[in-house]
Amino acid sequence: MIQSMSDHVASDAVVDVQLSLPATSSHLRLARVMAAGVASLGQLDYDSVEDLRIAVDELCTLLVQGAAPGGRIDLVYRLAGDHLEVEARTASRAGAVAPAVPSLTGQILSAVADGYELWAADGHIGFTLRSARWAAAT
Amino acid sequence: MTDPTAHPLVETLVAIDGDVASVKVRGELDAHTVGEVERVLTPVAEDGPTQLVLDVSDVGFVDSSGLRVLLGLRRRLVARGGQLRLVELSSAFRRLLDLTGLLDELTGVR
Repeated sequence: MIQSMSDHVASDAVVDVQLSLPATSSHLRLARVMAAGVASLGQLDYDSVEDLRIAVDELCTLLVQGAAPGGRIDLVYRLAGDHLEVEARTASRAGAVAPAVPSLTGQILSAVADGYELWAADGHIGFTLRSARWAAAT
Repeated sequence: MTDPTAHPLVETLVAIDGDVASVKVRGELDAHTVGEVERVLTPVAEDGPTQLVLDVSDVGFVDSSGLRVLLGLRRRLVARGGQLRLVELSSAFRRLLDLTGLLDELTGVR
């Protein structure tokens, strides 16, 4: 799980970064790069950054698979206090059906994330990743 | 090494010596890139040497898409009495295999 090595970002600081990508697999790497960049603000250790990159990649891959053709994925990376949260959404190709999680994907997510939720509503699908959390600044 | 691929984000090099195919993969293995690796290595796993050794020291990222392709290649090789073995794993790659319980299976321990 994700833990910080120091209090690089004050516990009351808020970092809110938005990213909008074409909902294609060729842009997954950009979502991972941004995840690592935001994580670096908290000076997370190497394993923790890897956990975040993997979790964002796996969840965005599910959104790409369920996205409407030509759609975009809108992501928000939020660093606040002692936790980091990633939210993402895209227009769905299949209406109000949340993406199914293949067993291997679920296995990976359960190992690298403290918590996540996949949802479907109003013609969109999305996720909230709460796994990117580290110990309170000391 | 032969058969370099032109994919900008991943490169797969294959050298065949008898019944051993030594493969070097460079880049990141995700849903976008892994198809290229699969395209290059599936014919080897189906009709080439039965021993496939993959040097993944230059693989900077791998996700479930990459692991599924590796498992598929291994399945093809095992069906022919062969083996797939990952070598020179980065700490991140090794950790992911450990987390998923695939470390022994994909490093040729069993």
